[in-house]
Amino acid sequence: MSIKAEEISTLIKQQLANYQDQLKVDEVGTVTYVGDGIARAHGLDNVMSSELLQFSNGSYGIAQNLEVNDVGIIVLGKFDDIREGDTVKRTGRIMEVPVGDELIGRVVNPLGQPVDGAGPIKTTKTRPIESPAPGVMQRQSVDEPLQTGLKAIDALVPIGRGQRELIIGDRKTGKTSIAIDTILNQKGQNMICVYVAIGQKESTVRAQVETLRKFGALDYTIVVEAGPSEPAPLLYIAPYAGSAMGEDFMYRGKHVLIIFDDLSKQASAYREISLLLRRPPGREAYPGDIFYLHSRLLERSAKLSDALGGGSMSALPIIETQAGDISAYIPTNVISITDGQIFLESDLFYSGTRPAIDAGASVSRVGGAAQIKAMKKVAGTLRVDLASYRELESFAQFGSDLDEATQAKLNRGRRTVEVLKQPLHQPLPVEKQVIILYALTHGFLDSVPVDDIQRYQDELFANFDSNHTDLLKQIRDTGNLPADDDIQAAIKSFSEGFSPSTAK
Amino acid sequence: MPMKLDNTTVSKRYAKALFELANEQHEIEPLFQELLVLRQVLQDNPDFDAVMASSSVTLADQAQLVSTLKKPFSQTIQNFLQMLFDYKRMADLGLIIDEFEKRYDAANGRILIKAVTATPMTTEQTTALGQAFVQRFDGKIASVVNTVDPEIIGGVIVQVQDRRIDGSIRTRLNQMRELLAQPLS
Repeated sequence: MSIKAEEISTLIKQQLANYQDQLKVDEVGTVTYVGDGIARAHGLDNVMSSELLQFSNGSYGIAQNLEVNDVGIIVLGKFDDIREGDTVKRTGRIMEVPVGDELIGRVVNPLGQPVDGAGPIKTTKTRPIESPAPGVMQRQSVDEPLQTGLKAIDALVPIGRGQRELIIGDRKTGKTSIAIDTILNQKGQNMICVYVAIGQKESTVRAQVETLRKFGALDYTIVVEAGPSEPAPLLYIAPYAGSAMGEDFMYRGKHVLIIFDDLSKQASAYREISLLLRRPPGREAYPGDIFYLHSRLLERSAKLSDALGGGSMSALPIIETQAGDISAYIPTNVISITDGQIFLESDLFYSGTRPAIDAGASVSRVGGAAQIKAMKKVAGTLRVDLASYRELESFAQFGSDLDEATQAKLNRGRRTVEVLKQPLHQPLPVEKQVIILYALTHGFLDSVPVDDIQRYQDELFANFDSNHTDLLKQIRDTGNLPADDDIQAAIKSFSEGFSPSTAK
Repeated sequence: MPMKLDNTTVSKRYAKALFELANEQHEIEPLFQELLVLRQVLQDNPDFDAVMASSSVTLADQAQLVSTLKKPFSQTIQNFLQMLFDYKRMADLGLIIDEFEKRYDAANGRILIKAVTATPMTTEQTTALGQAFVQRFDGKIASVVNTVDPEIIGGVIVQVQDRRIDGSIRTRLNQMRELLAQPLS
């Protein structure tokens, strides 16, 4: 293709025609201090709180502290070539990020700029990163299930669309895995996912993105990434930016799942900013408004009323605890804000119970209303049973003679724990979860050796897939349990054909 | 215990006190002229601040220097300088004069115009610029401070208080460059 000089000239002329020579009156201030991602500026008398400011090197900042003599600014991006004495000017806007369908499948930074090297993102809309949460009359109660694909969660602590469910646990207990598996299970569920990685190792994020890509989950997912090497202000705004991207879909009547991985690191970043801005430190050196930091973020997740399109944004915030201490400042704050929590325990994790969900301490305050009827029937007493098994288990260790009822309970408990185990990245559709839990609660597993449970389950599913698709379809489509006779007959005929392994 | 006061707060207080004193004595105008001279002296002798801040110069030597500095001035300014020295606020002198100037401007409707140009402005240009801005900002008199910065190529950047009007060739070229870099919609 030859280069046509004339064509280029015409294009340039067109562009220059748009150039209007106009004088702009800017309101400016002078930088008096810069360092550690924050700057202070003298002047800027009329600046508004949270207003976007522009430095002379092109970097942007957000006005945070408005004081008598100067303004405290957090710098978004490069601050090493800002000098004392530089000018900083008002923009009259507040911080916005690009939003829209074009972001789906991309990895972006908290400013909405692509970081996956796949070219520019041609969005047409933007949204302020801070926006008021929906009010009382704009909401309705949660009534649709959000299937995580994990038996232990969907049966014990069900989550509904529009709910905020906290995932909490020590490091290396599988918090992120639960979140990623939940994203994987949203395939074909008419759900947009936003995964916000805050202060996670870049290598880890890369691996997660590859997992999502491998399972085809990137087709409905936006990844917002603020790595540990970014300045603290970017980590601080990342969840708000992610929420803005999700809200755009929610207000268009779609369903959104947003994951904040993790909010402890965001709180640390905010603490860093606050201390540098010389705000008074409070408990654990966090500033006074640390509760508001998380409450205003999580309140933006909601189930909208039908008048507003009935969209929803469900949030799975993640909090990392230190040595299981859930009474630390940030965990208690976020527990009190969310509609329930999933506790992960290192002891369970290392003993091989994965996902390592502590059934006793995990709750879901609103999800029960969103559970499908069939699941409610089979999983009704599962949580209580499991808790009483854990109690008995510690008793039984003394080895005294146990009566038959207790033996039976222990027997069932062991099998329950085994059934609730699930390998990584293998989410199960809800109808299969119902089948295996039905088999469990109706005693079909009591005679199967514990070691064979996993194999029993796999073969049962294969059997249903080939011989009883009608039953599966019925659960999936109506949400109701099929007639007891049909389902019992199906499981019974399979159980009779199942041969336990000889090795005991 | 309250936090240590920063320079700006301190300067505002000293400037306010000095201005009110001058107002009571009806001496604002002569005092302001003296302060402008004082500022010129400080600008011409950048070492002065360093000597006053240095811990290796004895207090007696510093006192000697201050008494030399204050000698030609009026009694009010002499007292003022002596007080600043005694209270160890000599380092803030420049800021105090700036704050005094702001009060003076507010009281007299004087508009301080900082103009950056590529070549020095002529007297006619200065007058014209001053008049234009006096009208726009609703003042009475204009005071134009002209600094020369060849990097702006041409035009003028005017700053009045926090408002900056950038009419420089450099900015216009930059805008044009940005415009050309944008994709055609």
